Amino acid sequence: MKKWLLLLLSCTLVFTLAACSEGSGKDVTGGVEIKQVSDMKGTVRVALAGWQLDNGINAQTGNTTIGLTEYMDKTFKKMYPNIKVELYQIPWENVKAKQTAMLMSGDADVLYTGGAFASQWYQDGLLRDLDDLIKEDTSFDPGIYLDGIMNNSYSTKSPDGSKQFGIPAVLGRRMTIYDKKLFSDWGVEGLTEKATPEEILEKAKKMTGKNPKTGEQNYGVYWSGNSLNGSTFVALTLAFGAKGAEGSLKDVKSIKWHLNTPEMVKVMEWLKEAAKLPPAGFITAQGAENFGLEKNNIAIALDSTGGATMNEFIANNNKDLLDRFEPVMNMGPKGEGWVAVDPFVMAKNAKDVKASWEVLKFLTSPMTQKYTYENFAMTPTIKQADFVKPEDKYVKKALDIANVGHSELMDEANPFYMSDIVPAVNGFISKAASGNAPDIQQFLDELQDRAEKWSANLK
Amino acid sequence: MIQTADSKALRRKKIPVSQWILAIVLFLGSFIMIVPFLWMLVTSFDWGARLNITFPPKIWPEEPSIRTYEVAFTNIKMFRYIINSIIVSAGVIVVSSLSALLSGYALSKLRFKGASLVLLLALSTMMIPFEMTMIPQYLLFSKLGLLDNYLAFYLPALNYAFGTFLAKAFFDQLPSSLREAAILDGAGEFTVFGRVYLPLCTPIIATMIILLFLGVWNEMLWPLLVLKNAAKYTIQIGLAMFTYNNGINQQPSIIMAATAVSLIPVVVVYMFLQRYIIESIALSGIKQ
Repeated sequence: MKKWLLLLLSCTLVFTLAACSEGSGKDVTGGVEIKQVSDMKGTVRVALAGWQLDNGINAQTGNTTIGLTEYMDKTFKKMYPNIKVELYQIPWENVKAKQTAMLMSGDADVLYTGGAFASQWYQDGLLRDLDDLIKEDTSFDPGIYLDGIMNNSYSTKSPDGSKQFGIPAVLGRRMTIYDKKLFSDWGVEGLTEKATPEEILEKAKKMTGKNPKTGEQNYGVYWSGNSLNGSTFVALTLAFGAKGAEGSLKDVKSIKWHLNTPEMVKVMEWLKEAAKLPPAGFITAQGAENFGLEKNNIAIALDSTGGATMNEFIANNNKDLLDRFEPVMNMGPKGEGWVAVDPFVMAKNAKDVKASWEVLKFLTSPMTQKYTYENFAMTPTIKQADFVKPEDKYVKKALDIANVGHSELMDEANPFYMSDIVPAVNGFISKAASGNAPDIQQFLDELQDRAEKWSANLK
Repeated sequence: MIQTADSKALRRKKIPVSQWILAIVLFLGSFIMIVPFLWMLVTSFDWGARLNITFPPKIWPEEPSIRTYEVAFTNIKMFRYIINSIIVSAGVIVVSSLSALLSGYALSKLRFKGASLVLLLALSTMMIPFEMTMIPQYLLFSKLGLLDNYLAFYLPALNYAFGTFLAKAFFDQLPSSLREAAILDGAGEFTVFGRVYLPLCTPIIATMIILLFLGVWNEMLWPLLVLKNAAKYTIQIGLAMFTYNNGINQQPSIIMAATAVSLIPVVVVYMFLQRYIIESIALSGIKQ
């Protein structure tokens, strides 16, 4: 028996040998003829979080995907034949530890990473400003990127907003999406384009309970109750005008905290009321597994991506779902919310700055963004993203939201926000969901007190 | 017929209620342990679950297919990563076991001055969390030019303090008179170790192989830090690569397929060494 099982296991291993990665023979440039740009020489080491280097199969469509290695061979290598690019592929898991080590030891010149990591590295002096390179390079137009993330994000700009250290490459999608079918079942009018927290709460309350048509349990609203960056909380602070703090991340010890203001009380009151409406699992980010799909039972999802619906459309051409799940702007006054962006950055001690800049510039260019969108469904960061599929309304909405985005001190780049405010707010949500919400004013007074002590300790 | 029925009834009577309760509890325990594994296998063959995981879980795939395995093996060099993991594991096992056995033997039988202090110092290195030492360790290997080199696994493996402790405790149980007799017969220290004591160490060697193999096979952070060239990556890094777009885009059935394949070597090792598994837990007090 043991021998047979061993034989079976060995055969499974042998018969599932990796397919060799060979050239796809596909066009990656959209028909554009690639010509040599420069004979500049150099070697650039690029550390990429999460990119796929080899050709593979798109799990959504079953089509071949072109890995970055082939893409670079067909494009950059022809444009800059004397620049050698070494690509290091790093999975997102533990990427911060790996890239931090690479920056400290001088093992990487250009990095693609998470926005929060980039911001921290910049503050730690591990990254280089790009302003001089941008100024010198007439072929680079910073105006092609969405203003909200190019000029108003801690992931690309220094804490005081005066220096540019990152170029946005991939956008995070966070928007309000509602289920038109459930709205119709309950006889509730759809959300307006810039639905306020009050409108969302009012409509969500109406749609929590037994669906009048199907008899199934429905939930009015959903958001991730244990979000590591508190994105929904950020959107609410924008909506209610609760700034939370004044000052600059360049001088964190001088930040003036305003965490117990009447506006912040409104934010917490909203969370307290809304916490009664989602499925119980929302406090651990569970319960919305079917949102965006046929079996959905949640009317409104905050900070949602539309990914599940779009996946179904791409895989099965399911237009019904696409019509059913409608995105609107986020909750801020202009429709803004917290916008995540993953940039390309350059190491402070990059070996070959000029060659590194050419690589960085190329990897954030519209051509590369088209390539990453088409092959890996990454959301672009440029204004004229005309390659986005006409049906992909979620990406278009994300671009609209990003365009009006701006950075505030309630942001993951703020150390106290990440270490104390987010866990405290998530704890509050958890207690509110079980009907044991603490006294809001007292909760905020304590948070304010902690924040002031934190700042005082830094002085 | 009557006789058969009677004997069946008799047999039923012989099983006490406590045994039934124990059997039910054990069955439930086994069921709870095996359900995630079965769910993984079922999902790994479900092409329909490649984009969104089916919830609640199903006992049969919605779209049964082995294409999930094809995607897993095409997108990531799974086979190469498994081979890499085997190379790393084998090297670490050899280096660590040998180092632990030799040091354990020395501490137990050679009785030199300061032996207890040496053991204490070695054990104290286990109190320092890896997260504290990983960046300095990385910088050291970077300066030595040993990044992207499997020596970055084998050299730290020389310090296997827990193995030293285990081996010393094991050697303590073996009579010192064996060494004395061999020395009287003219044997050198390495001959005593290799010819007299080592053949008696099968249980402790098996224990160390199991503990080291599972530890190294599942290791993620250190390989990720020291390896740069994707061709040298280990299987755990390979599995982590199935998460795209800042962790947002998951492909459940593809990840499950890759995970199922990655478990094959573990199952093979388990089958070869299963009679030592319980013994290793008893000897070391560790269940991995």
